[in-house]
Amino acid sequence: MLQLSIENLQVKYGSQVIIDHVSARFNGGNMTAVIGKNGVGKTTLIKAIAKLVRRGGTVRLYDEKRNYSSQDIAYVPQMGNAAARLTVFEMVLLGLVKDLRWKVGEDQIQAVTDVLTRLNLLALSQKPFHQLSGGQKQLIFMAQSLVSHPRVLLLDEPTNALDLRHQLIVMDQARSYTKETGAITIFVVHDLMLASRYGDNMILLDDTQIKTQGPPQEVLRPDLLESVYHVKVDVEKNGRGYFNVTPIAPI
Amino acid sequence: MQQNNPVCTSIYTDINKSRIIISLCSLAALFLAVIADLAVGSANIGVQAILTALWAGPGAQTVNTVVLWDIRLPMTLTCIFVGGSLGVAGLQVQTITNNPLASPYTLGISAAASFGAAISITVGFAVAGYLWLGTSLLAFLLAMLVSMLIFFMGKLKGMSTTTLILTGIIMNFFFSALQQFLQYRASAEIAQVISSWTFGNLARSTWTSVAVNGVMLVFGSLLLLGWSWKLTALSAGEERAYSLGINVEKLRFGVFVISAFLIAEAVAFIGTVGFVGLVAPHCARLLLGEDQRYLLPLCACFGGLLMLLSSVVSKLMSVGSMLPVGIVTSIVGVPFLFVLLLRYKG
Repeated sequence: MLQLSIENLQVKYGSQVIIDHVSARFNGGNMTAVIGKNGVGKTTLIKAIAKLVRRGGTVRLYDEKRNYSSQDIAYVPQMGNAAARLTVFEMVLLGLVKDLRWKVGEDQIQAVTDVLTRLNLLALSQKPFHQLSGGQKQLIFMAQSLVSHPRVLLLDEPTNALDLRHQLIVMDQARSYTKETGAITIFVVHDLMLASRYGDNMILLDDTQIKTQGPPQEVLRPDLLESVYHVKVDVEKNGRGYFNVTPIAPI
Repeated sequence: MQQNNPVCTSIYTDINKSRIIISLCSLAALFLAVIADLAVGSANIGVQAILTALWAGPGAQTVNTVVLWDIRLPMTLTCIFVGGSLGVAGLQVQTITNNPLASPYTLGISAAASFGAAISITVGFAVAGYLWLGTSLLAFLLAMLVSMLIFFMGKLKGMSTTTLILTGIIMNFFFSALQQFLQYRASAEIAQVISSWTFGNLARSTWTSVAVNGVMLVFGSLLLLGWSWKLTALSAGEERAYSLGINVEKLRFGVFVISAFLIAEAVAFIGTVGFVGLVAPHCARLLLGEDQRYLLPLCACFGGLLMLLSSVVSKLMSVGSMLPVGIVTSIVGVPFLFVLLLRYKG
């Protein structure tokens, strides 16, 4: 089984410590939600895993057969203001940018076709990217990351600014990729209900370190949430088995 | 795994086919503009005579041959190469600053070249006895000096777009002020020469300028084309390019150095020419999209085309002499810039 292990991960911006000796282990086929208040280093943590920031400590990705490199880790940033005049097909093709030569190979066109088909986006392939809705753009960004068949998918606030329907579509696609391919998905999210619904495990970050980690029922405890978010909360499981976290008042 | 999907393959092939057709049409337009530019001038030579003189080569001792090979052809080729350089440099400045309204002027390199030329004109700096060569050399050196300054500032701040643009604006104001100071202190004749240099005058074209501009454009474009996919990814956003594993800082540095050379060689010989570097990339982008494999050559083509059309207009507007081409490109460019400003009002 695929394993991702991070040990003593440390990130500093100048003299400021953002991530301080964080260790964790992630299993293939599982989704992990990273939660915590603003500015505790959630994005920095997944960027450090993807080797997009200078980091200390070790990150190992391996299974029974081999060790993988950071090339097998795909990071999907928060939806930015990408206004390039590219078609959807070209935007997804850029996911293979490191391997693209002057002439695009048949196998590369096939890989783009496959991922567009998997995400039900083939009908949009000729559309200009900048004319898409926010939800469609987020799906295209995910397709761009999935086209290279990453073993680890890192999603930075993937549902940010999306309506309810697109939140579910985006997260469902991430989950089906994770379960079908045995990959590891780690996603940063502010919505605790979404985090618990899609996260097999959760990591609660507080002040540069992991406060606690484990399955949702162990992390979403009122006392823990109140100590991290400084908000009085009610936590209950609804009829469908999902956690509802209701903020009551600031402490 | 899906079976090979012919629809998708055909979609992608069709997009590229239409791009090749647009590129070929643009090349045909460039060729027609070359003929028009060669045919228009104070010496009344018809298209047939132009083609005959071209075919005869530079050795033939006729008036038409001398006019064509010593005067018009260097101007026409300089138009193509200077316009091409400004078009390509403009595209890359827009790409690395992630700013559609950026142009070769934004980085302050043109202002520095103007100041270099102003110093040379003021002190009468000559190379091998040629004043024009001294002026071009000093313009080029100042342009490169400023490029290095911007680069070192950028290195300190990780080549961020804000640093590049702000440093460029500072350089622009600084060197414009220095040039104005020189003009203010100079005699009326010298001030007039400095002023005319800043208009961009094709009359300063020589075979030397053709050779230097041509070699730099071809060499610079080939290097940039090698990074065409990475540049296309960068146009989709800095964060996105980082996430795709591109070393954005290194890419920006390489592109910046090549662009600086292209801008410096373009303005060193004929002076500063406005708006070509802003307008050509936008026209090309509207027609072809952002794929730099096609966009970059088309920017060079449109830059040359715009310069040639401006050259023809400047010759027609001022029969018997030649209006500085920089004035005409600005007249053509200003309305277009207004359209762009309105379009990007957000």
